Amino acid sequence: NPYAGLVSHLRASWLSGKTRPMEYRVTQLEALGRFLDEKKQEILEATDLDMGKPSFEAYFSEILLCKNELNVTLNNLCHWMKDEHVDKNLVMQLDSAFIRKDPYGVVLIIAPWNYPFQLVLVPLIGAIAAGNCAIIKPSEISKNSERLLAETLSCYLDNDCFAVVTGGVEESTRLLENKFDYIFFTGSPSVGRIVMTAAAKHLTPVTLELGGKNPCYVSDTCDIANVARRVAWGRFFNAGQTCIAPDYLLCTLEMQEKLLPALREAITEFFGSNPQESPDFGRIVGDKQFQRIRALLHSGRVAIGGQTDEAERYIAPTVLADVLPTDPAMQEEIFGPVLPIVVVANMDEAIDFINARPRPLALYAFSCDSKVVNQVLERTSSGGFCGNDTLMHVTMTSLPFGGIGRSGLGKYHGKFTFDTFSHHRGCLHRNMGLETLNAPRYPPYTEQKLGLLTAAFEVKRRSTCTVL
Amino acid sequence: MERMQQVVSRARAAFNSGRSRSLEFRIQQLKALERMVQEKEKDILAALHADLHKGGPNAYSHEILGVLAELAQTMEKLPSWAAPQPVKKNLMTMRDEAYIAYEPLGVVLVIGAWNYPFVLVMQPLIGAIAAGNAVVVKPSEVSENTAQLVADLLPQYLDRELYPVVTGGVPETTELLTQRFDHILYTGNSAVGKIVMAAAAKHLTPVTLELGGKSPCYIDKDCDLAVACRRITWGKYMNCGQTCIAPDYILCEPSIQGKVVENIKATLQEFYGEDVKSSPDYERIVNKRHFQRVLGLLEGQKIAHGGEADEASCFIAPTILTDVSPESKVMEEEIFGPVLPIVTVKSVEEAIEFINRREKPLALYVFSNNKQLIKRVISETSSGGVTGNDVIMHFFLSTLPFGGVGHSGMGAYHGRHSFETFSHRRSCLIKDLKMESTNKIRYPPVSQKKV
Repeated sequence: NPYAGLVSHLRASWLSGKTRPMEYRVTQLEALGRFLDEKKQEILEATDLDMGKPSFEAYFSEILLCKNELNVTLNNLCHWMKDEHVDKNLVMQLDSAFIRKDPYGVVLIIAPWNYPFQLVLVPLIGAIAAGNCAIIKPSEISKNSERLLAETLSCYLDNDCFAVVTGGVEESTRLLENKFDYIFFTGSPSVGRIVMTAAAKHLTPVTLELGGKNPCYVSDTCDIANVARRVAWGRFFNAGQTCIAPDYLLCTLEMQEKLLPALREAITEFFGSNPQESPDFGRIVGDKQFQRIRALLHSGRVAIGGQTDEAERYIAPTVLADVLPTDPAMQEEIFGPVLPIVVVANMDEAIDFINARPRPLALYAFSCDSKVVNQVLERTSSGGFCGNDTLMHVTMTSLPFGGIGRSGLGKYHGKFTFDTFSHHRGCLHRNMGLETLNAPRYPPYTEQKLGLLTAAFEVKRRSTCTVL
Repeated sequence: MERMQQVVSRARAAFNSGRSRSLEFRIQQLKALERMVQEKEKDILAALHADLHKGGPNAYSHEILGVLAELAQTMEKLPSWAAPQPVKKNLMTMRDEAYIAYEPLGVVLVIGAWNYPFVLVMQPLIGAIAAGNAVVVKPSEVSENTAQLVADLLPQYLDRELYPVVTGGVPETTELLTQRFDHILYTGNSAVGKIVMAAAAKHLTPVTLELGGKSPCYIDKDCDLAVACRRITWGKYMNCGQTCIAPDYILCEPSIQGKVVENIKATLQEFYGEDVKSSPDYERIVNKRHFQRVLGLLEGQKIAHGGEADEASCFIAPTILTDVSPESKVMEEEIFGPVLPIVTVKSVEEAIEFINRREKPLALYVFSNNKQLIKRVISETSSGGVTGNDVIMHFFLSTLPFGGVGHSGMGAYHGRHSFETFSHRRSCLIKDLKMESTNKIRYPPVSQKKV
């Protein structure tokens, strides 16, 4: 077990108690802040090398969002760490009852390649804030980002408590043989299953941030130009390599015909007439992924884009029209700059289509009619939902971010990350005196004692509320 | 075995019909459950007596009172729990609607345990129904009378397709676990907990595992020993020690060991009289297998009190062991029986170290007049839950999440925590389709000033 030494070293640090005081956690978090500030250029360069990520996108998604999470955490840590006092019943009025937020111990964070800094740092911020030690396993596919993290994070964080492990499938498998106190995984559902199965051997709780095909329904009553812009932005950000990107569009034939020119216009507005020359459009991370996405182009008809350049791993912002549910683009999460449009007759058919498939991480609905947006929301299930826009719900630290069913389990961002990495321990601190109050609970059991207990413990139903 | 697939498919179809979602429906089902508990009280108590030799007032207070309280509280609070929660917005979302919606997960599986066979099926069921799910209930076959009763009663009061009861043993449960559920709540031991989680992993199903372990009980020199020992005796020997949060073993300094034994003996006398076996308030071990197991733990131990056993009735007397070695068998596994080992330690530091060297327990107990000492023990250890200066009681406060950590489990429930466990918290952001100008700053092409 090549990682046994590392894990037990971190476990020893954990048992020493050094990560528990708030001051320690603040120091480590502030160091992460300095990492983001001082290594900003390097971060932008690494993500550019890894997937041609435009620096605007990289700054926004990899640095700004992380700094926000950091600041929300630092601003509120004291409050989050406090014991949460709870309402007491009659019998416990003189006792102290509270929920203590305990760290778990040594946690493992496994990150993917598409937002290689954000998807390491945002979980890590919560893990540190909650008082844990952590092993970080960045993705080997985004190798420049992996190298930067492996080489520099150790200059900022306490090496006795935080470590970066590099490597591929083999190394991850060996790492997962160890016992961790929590595992936070972002990646595909199939690997998610492997991680949870490994976690089960040690009864390790997990958060799995997975993926799927995020549907985007566009109703007939909508501001077409705005819809086109918001959808195009969400789809083509990071060249489509975003777990919450709108994966496919559902709309009527009529709307498809109206959307196509609007999408064309939005794409030109964003990336110019030749997106390959735009500094604001990314590339596919690797050859394997490039080939996979290119094969999906044989779906429906290419209405916009479709050009590819293997040497650059460039795939043009592409819209496929008249796509059938049986086409290749509808069989897997696209994770690329390709937007299939599947024609449906009406909203009901769109909802049935969505509900016949695994529950997605995100779900989008566009309409000027708020009733339509609410209908789609109420009649479907998904990790999160955004009406009349894409991606934006995850930029709010007050909203929990996570999936359901095949798109994941657990949630994080903001306080939810802190809660994810804390064990919520129910504590009751009783009075040693007043023993007579306990008398009804002791044997020998009598009906009279039972009467007293019932009076003390029962919750009487107030008059029924008819307004539901 | 097709039966399992049919039962679960029917439950899923029933869930997909949408009828379990309205608050009216959920409260109506909970009301029906309440009627069931009230109308069938005698039958429930009879089943508990048949399974565990549990007497009337005892069974009522442990298994029925809590269920009725949970039902009443849930029905009252459900509208507020289920209401969408608006959240704090940022500058870019100022004009939007942002909230967390509570939605049902789908089809939930509740696997009960045999030691409190009624409440450990009912409490999760209440939370799962309240959250709008369909629920497949699998009571423990070991407490067979209660299992049969639950299988008979639920269909008489509840929607039969949404809330089926499945009975059977290991083969049936294994088959059941191959089906896809949207959440599984399992109460039982760690070994089976691992099996449940591994099966859940195949479908990426979230789990709540209420497991067990050895819950330590530290008695400080500075405390009212008479009171402490009375409380400990109550918690240890209730249900013949077959309680997941029973104080499993005692840690104390050698100087008070003798007094601890004396006090417990005196309390036992007070509770059960001279002849424990004839007390209607003292239960039995659930079956021969566990009887043998618990009896086996006494081998080679110094028995300060008790030790008597009668296989025919699965009776084991309340037993205290002194000067127990940390390496002995009785200190290896969760006892789950009326045997209380005392392990001596030199100080609270040693006690804390002792506790931390072992798997994280479901409950932790510490008795002391010194508030600071209690706070210290809590802060320097980890456990599912804690009661200071008493035992068991944190279980009865539904505002506290009840669950384990590490080997003692994951997730929690009771009260609102049940509702949240069985719900999906869906983030919702509803924007205006107009107001596009505010979005322009995020679109390419980029100039420095946008950032």
